[in-house]
Amino acid sequence: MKKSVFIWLASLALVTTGCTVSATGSSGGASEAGGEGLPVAVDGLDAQAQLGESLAGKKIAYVPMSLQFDLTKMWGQQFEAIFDSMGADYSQEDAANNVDTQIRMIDSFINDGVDVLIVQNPDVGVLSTQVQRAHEQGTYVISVNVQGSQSSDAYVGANYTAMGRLLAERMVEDCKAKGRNKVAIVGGFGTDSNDIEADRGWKPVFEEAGMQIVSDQQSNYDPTKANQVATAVLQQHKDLCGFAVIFDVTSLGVAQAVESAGLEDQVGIYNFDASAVWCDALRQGRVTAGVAYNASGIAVAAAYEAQALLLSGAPAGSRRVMGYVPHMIVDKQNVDTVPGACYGVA
Amino acid sequence: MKTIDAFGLTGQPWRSRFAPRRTLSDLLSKSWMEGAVPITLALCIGVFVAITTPEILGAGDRDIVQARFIEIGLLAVALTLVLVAGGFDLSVGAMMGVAAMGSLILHRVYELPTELVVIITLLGGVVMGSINGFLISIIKTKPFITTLVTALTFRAVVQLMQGEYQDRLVFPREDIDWRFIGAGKVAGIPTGLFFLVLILVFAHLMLTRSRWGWWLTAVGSDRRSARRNGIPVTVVSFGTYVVSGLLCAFAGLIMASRQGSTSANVASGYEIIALTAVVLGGVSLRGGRGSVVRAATGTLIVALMGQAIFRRGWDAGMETVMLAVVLLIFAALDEKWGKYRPILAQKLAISPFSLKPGPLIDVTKPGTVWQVNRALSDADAIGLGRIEGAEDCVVDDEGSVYCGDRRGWVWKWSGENNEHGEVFARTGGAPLGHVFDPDGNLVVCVSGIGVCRIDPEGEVDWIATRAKRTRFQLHDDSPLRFADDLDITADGAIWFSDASTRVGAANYQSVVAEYRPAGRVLRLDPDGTVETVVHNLIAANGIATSHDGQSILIVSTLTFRVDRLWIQGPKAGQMEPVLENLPGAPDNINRASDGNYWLSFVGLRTPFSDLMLRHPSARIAMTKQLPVDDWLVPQWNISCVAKFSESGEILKVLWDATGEKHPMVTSMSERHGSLYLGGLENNRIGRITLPAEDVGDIDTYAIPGLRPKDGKTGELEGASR
Repeated sequence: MKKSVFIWLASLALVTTGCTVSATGSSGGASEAGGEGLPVAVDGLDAQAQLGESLAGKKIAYVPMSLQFDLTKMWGQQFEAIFDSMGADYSQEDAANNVDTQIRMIDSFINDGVDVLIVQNPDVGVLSTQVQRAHEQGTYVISVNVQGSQSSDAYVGANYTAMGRLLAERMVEDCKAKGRNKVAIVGGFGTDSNDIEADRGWKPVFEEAGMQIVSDQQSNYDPTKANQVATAVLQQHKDLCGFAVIFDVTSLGVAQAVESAGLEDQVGIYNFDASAVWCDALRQGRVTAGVAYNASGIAVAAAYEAQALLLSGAPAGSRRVMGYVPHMIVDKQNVDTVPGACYGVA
Repeated sequence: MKTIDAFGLTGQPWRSRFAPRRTLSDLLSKSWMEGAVPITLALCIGVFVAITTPEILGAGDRDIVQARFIEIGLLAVALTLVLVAGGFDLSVGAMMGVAAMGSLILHRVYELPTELVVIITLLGGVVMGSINGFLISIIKTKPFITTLVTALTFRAVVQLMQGEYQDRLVFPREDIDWRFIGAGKVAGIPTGLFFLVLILVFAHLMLTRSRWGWWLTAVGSDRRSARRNGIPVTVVSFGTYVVSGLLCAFAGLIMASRQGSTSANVASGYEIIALTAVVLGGVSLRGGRGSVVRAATGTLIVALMGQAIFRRGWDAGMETVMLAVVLLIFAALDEKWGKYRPILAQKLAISPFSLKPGPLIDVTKPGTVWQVNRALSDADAIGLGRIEGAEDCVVDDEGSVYCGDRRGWVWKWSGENNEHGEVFARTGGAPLGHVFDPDGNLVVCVSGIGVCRIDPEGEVDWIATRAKRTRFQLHDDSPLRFADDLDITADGAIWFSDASTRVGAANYQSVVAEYRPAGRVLRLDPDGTVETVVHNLIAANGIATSHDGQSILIVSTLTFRVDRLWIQGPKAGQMEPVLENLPGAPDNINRASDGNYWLSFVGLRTPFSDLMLRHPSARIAMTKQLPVDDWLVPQWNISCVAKFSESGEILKVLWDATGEKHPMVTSMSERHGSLYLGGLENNRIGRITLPAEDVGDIDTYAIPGLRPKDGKTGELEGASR
């Protein structure tokens, strides 16, 4: 009796009101007072004043996947240095590799009406709604190093497909010299753009060269997890030629597994990115080679984009651009001479 | 009739009405107190958080808090149901993760229509819940370890699924139906919130108002006794895990649609958040107690806390730390509060009252009407050794004796010398007062239940089990806990006493230790309504309609008095004393055939028991330190029957001076020239033949004011049944 009344009420509510899907509501948003960019002829002091004016008091927030990596920490330091000096209101948050937390933080910043949001997409699809909402209320979004499926105002990062190809070619060369043909891939989240693009780079090279990919697993950028993955791979494939690893920190976990298995001289370790810690490992021969991209250049480019966007005053989402930073192979021979490699955190 | 307040009969000042100990005990005894303290503390935390970090209440943060509230709320409902049924589910977060990942794969990779994705995902939730249910309810593994293992397994399943589909999983599919789940609105309310509220209302009604809810609570409180009471324990417990899986799957769907995260650690750590939420809401981890509404309140506070920690710029790890601290504090609170609340309530339940009785008549002094004699010493015994505690008895036209028994029976003793005994009816309570109605049915006051009518075939029909609850009073006085004695008036109404609104006959000693006005007299109308006519009596007991049918005589055992309540005539609605300051505690009262009344005494006052009455604190110490048998109460081992006139003059007193056969007389009933004696602690009914001078020509069983029918029982005038 009670149940039926209840069901009746519920269905009534459904029928009478109907269901809607609304675009995520936003009110107002940060209006841009930045202006139209610099005039054609300008005095140096005037230009400085104009840039300063367009940045003063602007809220700029940086939410990477985690602030526990040297890479993201280093970017944060650079952002802080430039934006603080320009009188902007800069803040950063550590999501500690937790997607839920990161989304919550980004949502909060959007709701606060920040002017520029600098984010790192934990996976390709996940921040689509956030980018859309940010644009709707006039917040610029700059993606650093990891791209999303919804274009932001600017993407700056490394070209992972090209880097993957380069790294794979180096591995194939080394493996042929060793007379081995088994490689293992240790990825990141699996669904982030770095992983996807790297796969597009290195997999065709391995296939063409007749290399066998014996394992392709995710580490979630966690050295401990990478260590577990590598240990398992090495137990099954003692004749492995090398590991293709997504990131330098991850690579150090793999290196430990190789050392534990006592295969230091036989199994190579190759990865992207080259922080100071990793360069030390390279010098000690714990890792074999890597593709270093100009890591601090990413922060510089992103900071430039933020300033350019604020100065131009273009509506958020009206112009979507991207650009890469340079990269090159680093190994024991050239480790001290590659620009941008072996960066440290203050 | 306006309810008469008999508090004045105690002779105590108005302020004595307050009993702080008892009020506190009443408060602590409330079942909602179980959750009240945790939820109050939780609300304090919520208010504190909101005051210190007001940003979280802003329009912007509302969406974020709301999204968390919806997803954690669903898990909290799931966890509450499992906890109430005495189980545990650590796998809620992992099940949510599987559902979130699975639904994304179905939607993005297999491109199934949203409706199908929803159905398959929910079915998947049912399957996952069934795995938990199967292991815990059927294989009987421990819930904690089982769900810990299944949580790890489900989490691994998420990893595997993500690894398998990662490259095809990343690109969202534009689909308005899919977006509706996470970002749509029903009736202007976000879809998730709409369904959460619906689920909350439904689950609350089911938990508190349905048989299924009672089963859950019973299984969670005590599995073994639930099984003994015929509850399908396995099915009930299995069901909670299935429902839990279903709700988690729904939460996963909402999260997948809202966020679209393909991370393998989607919804990780949600089990601890949901657990904190339910414990904040006062859901007991020990099973059997919990409310989904309170759990939802706890969820809201957890969601606010999370956002506040972010707003204060604390490390994200701090959220976990804070939740853990809160969880520990509230789990400890649950344990201690749950354990000590009932104990404290019980300790404070007896709240003695100070009474100053009048001067004590010395019954041992020769020459008074009270002089001890042996008039009852030679009483014949009926049902000797077979009866246990017949408080009252009645005799039918054939001479068969009907009496109660503390085991819940009503005996019928027939035969020439009433030697043939049979259990005439079974009541389930403790039958006390008996009376015949004009139709020849037996009407009995049963302590613990109420008033029943037993037809000549022995069929029991309950005619009064509840009174109207007194408003603005913590204690629920609607049950008839101690229905004691009764009589019928010409209008067909049954007047009965309820000796205490707090305890039943089994705990009569606590009424005696307390001496607090908690008794009442009620009137059961022929139409079935029950109204309280007199309240605040101390141990209201015997009831008799006066010979003229104009008034009701009411015995107050522990104020040692008899009062007359006028029900007709110019004084209708007024009460006046008939007997005061009696030397003993009067019990039942009945009409005598010579126009007078019989009054029994359950025990006698002594100087020492009178002294104890003046000192409530001594009685508190007594109840705390002595076993019930050693409590200092009036002398129960000697008592008597007295006859008094309409004007309140004691005419005659009958004693069993030996104390062998009838040390305690709780009732007497005159019929066919004999007096039948009942006793609450006796193993018999006694019978003495009354001397000729005591026997008049009034039928003591006829209802005063009714036209006699066949010279025996009366017929109701103007009242129909």
